[in-house]
This record gives sequence, C-alpha cells and structure tokens, in this order.
Amino acid sequence: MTNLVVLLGCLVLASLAASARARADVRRGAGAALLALLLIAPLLSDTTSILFDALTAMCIAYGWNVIGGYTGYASFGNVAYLGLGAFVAAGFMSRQPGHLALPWFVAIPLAVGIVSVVALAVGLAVLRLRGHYFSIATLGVAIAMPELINWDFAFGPDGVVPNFFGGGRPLNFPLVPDAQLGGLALGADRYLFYYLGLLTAVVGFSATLLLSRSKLGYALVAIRENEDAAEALGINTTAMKSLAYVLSAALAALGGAVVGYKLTNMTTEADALFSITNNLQMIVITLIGGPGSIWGPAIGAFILFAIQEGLRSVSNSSLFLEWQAAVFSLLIIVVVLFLPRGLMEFLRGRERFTWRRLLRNLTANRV
Amino acid sequence: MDLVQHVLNGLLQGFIFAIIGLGFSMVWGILNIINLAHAAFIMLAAYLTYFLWAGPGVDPFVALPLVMAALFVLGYVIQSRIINLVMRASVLTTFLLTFGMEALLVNVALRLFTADNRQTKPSYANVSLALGDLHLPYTQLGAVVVALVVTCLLYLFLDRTRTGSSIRAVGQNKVAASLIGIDLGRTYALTFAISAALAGAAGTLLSTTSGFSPPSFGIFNILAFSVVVLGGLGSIPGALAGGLVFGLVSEFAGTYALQEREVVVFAVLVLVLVLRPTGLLGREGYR
Repeated sequence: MTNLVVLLGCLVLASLAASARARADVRRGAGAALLALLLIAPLLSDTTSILFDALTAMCIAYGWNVIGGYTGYASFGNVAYLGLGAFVAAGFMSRQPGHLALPWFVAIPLAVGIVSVVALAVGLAVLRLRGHYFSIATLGVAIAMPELINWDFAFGPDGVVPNFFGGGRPLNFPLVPDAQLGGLALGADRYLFYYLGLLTAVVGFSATLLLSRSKLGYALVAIRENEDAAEALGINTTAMKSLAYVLSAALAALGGAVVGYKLTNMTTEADALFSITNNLQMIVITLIGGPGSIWGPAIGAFILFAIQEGLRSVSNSSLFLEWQAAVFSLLIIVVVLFLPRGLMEFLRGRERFTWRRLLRNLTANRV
Repeated sequence: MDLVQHVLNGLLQGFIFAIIGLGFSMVWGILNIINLAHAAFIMLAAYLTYFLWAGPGVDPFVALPLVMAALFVLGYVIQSRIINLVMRASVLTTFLLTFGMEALLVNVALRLFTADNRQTKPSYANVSLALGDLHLPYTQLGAVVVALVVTCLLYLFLDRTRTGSSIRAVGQNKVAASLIGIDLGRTYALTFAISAALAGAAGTLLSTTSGFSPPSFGIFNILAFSVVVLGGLGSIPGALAGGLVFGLVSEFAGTYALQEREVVVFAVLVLVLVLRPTGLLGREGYR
C-alpha cells in the first residue's frame, strides 16, 4: 500500500515538474521533491521491489525513447541489449573459476561499454536501412541475441572467450550479503539494489536531458520529422542515428545489468530477461508518457507500475503475471489510437484533458 | 541423392513461404504498412485448422477455404475498423499498432491454447510419394498445389478484374485513385483482407507439415519480410522466387549449419539488405 502511495506521489510530482503551465520555480521544486521522495522511499516502505522494477524499467524506457521517441525509429530489438548487458556484467562479476570477479561498479560500466560496441557494430549495418527495413532488422536482433549467447564458437568450452556465459555451468552474479550499519541490518534488496535502480533512472533521465539540449538531440528530431531534409541540411544522418542507437542500447544494458544483478542466476532467468514482456514494457512506458520527451518515460513508468501495484493488491498475482503481456500489448494498441503523443500532450501544451480530445485523436488520421 | 532430397524439401517448403510473402507484400506495397500481425494471422489459421480437424474431424484441405474465408473477414474488420483510423499517421504508428496486435493475439493464444506442441495429422500425414530414393510427403505436395492455385488466382484477380485494377491503382497513386472515385478505405480493407486470407492458407498448410505452438510463429514476420525484400516489393513472381530461395536456405541451414534456422534467415536478410536493397526482381508498381 505504501508503495502505491509513493508511486502516485512520484507521478504527481513528475507531472508537475513536466507541466508547461506551472511556474519555473514550482517545476524545479517539484523535480527536487521527486528526487527527495525517491531517496527516502526505502525508509517508508519495507519492500522496495516494485519501486526497483519501476526505476530500472524507466532507465530502459529512456533508452527506447532515444531511438523510438526522438529519432522516430521503432526498434523492437532493445530487449536484446537489456539481456546482453545482464549476461556480460554477470560474466565479469561471477566468482566461478575463469571469471574475473570484478566489483559491480567496475563490471556494470564495463558491460555497458561492451554492449555499446556491439550495438555500434549492429547499428552500422541496420541503420543504413530506413523506416520499415530498420525495424524488421531490429526484430531479427531480438531473436538472434539469445542464440548468440549460446554460440559455441565464441563462448563454448574451446571458444574465443571460453565459458564467458557459463558454458553449460550456471552463470551467477555473486550474492550480496545484508550490510551492517551500527547494529542495524540493511537488507540488500531493500537498500543496495533500490539505490542502484534509482541511479540507473537518474542516469537515464540526465542522459535524456543532456541529449534534448544538444546538437545531437536536435539532429535526431530533424531526422524524425524529415530524414531527407535533415540530410540536405548537412546532418550526417547515418552517424547521428548510430549514436542514438548506441545510446539507446547502452541505457538498456545499464538497466538490464542491474536487473540481472538482483535476479542473480542468469542461467534460469535468461528467458525472463529476453522476454516479450520486457520488450513490450519499455515501449508501453514510453508511449503512455509521451515519446520524444524528457519526462515522458518517468511519467509512463510511474503510471504503469502504479496500475500494476493496484491490480496486484486487488487480484491474485499469478493470474496477473499470466495476463501481463496481453495487457501490455492491449495498452500499446489503445495508447497508439487514442493518445499518440502520450500524456505529455496535456502537460506540455495548452490542451486540457477531455474525452472529446481523445476521440479527436482517434479520428485525426483517418483515411 | 541426399542433396537432391534436401533441394526438394527446401522447394516444397518454399512454396508455403511464397504465399506468406505474397500476402505480406500486398499490404506493404499497397497500404505502405509492415503488418507485424501477419504471423499472428498465420497462427490463428493454424489453430483454426487444428481444432476443425481435432474436433469435428474436418480434413485440412477441406477446411482451407473455410479458414481463408474466416481470416478474410477478420482482416477486413481489422483494417476497416482499426487500421484505417491511422492511415495518415507516421509509419511508426502503424508499426506500433500492428506490433501490439501481434503481441496481443500471440499472448492470448498462449493463454487459451497453451504452449503445447500441436500438429494437424490427417490419415495421410506421414505418408510420402516415393520416387526411387526420393520421398515427397503428400501434405507438402498438396501445399504446393494450393500455393500455385492461390498465386494464379491472385494474379488473375489483380490483373483482370475491375476491383483488382482499383487495388493496383491505389498502390500506384492514392490521390489520383481517390480522384477517379475509388473508395480508399474500402480498397485498403479489401487488400488487407486478401492478405489475411493468404496468411490463412499458409497457416492451414503449415499446421499439417510441422508441429507448432503460439511463439513458434514469430519467425514468419522476419521470413515474410525477407522473402519480399529478396523478391522485390510489388512483384508476384518475385515473391514466389523469394519464397523458394528462402525454403532452400532454411532447409540447408537446418541440415548442415546450425540447429537454429532463425540466425541464418536473419543473416541472409542482412546480406540482402546490404547488397541489394531493391530485391532480385524489384520493379515499380504491383504486378
């Protein structure tokens, strides 16, 4: 129950911070209050699991927002980088023989770096493609990545990097013991992972904030609006799109690595990491909030997880988990039809929320 | 002899891929939509055939026209009621919309039909026509006949009828087509419905040739896309050629290279996209 209140509080503060109608100092105050609320959240609630999920999902959604929102290129393959980030981080952190057993603050940035290089290589191939071609190619990336991780030539017992992803034996992140602070037990789930999750969300937000004010950000929006015109204006569209793709993959990998760290056992959780639910989730969050905006993914994540927390408290949770992917996909359809610019439409402009406005959105692009 | 058998297997499989690509290509070429729900339509048709056979015992080749008709109606309703609402929005919108439909259909199917592996197995399912050392399964041969008949009928429909001409006209120039009195919304719905019916035929045929479960159809979107890119957008012979090539690729990949055909199909797609983005037989317009 506390978590639901915290999520709703975050939602209100984020909306206030994003609203174009509020005064500048109110907006800044709301942003600061949001951060403060998130910082003290573990003291208010005894289980922060759902908040952790919301914050990491937010980071991953910020990644999708870069390519899908700012650049206008539907990527259906970001889940591949999410999973790869977790596996690479686990490969560096595992205490099994043959692994480096690096601490998380070295391993996770390293994993993000490696995934970025992979994404750059993939991006250079697929980003020569436009629109349709690009999106289908990313669909292929999502299917190919889990196979790649099991590729004997590279990661088998005699591979290029032998047994990096376990190679038949289970691949585990090291377990995190509960910390002691002056006689107080600090649960790892409640504190360490929560603050790691918060860190990823802050990184995602800051990266987007910087992006939206940079030359790269403007170039991406130009590409989204009219790629030929952008190219005619002298924008190196391939380079810009590649950068966007890499940034997008890096944020997915960051979120994925932290999610994986908490799940611990990569071998049994591989299906969960590469799941269609994860793929749908980042898209749903971005669409609900508003693609191509700074606050969109944050608002989307708070709403989606507030809904989930609300549903979970009134219904049986296994039923909910079974139908989760179906509900997400239905949400995508509904939001695309009724709210193509997300909830930011009502926060950013002069438009007030009315049911008539939703109906007008529905029929705006009719044949 | 082994090699000849593999070539034959690949070609037989390729005819089914060809009709998958054909339906996908029509919607792409004429509506400018990449229909990511195409694979879900194939899945629905496969389950419909399976349940018609497992329940009342309808032979799959008798069920074929019924399934195609059902998918035709479904496609018509989806296009005229839903997708027509976003036809003037950006490509991203239709992409996300059909992606959502695909995920919805597959996940609901997964809940309702479970992930159990199923196959429609009429009495002649595992019997082959033997030609010397070569074996040609009867279901596969039937699939080839169906694919050829369907392709010819589609060609005649597009080429010889007034409605077919109006579909091609919309594909060439939407504004001009609507100026001479063609109802765009209706033509879109009709095109989408034909494409869904083709997916229906493919689904029925696939349900007899191999085992399936809801997630196993995901690969067909990429496959359909690859077939179209390889053959060239807007070309019926191209789709046929692309389908046959991919039948061979997938057969040989499954036999010699990897257990995972998906990666090979994807690799071929990337190669084609990089080397020849207009396809092997690609031309303007729809023939």
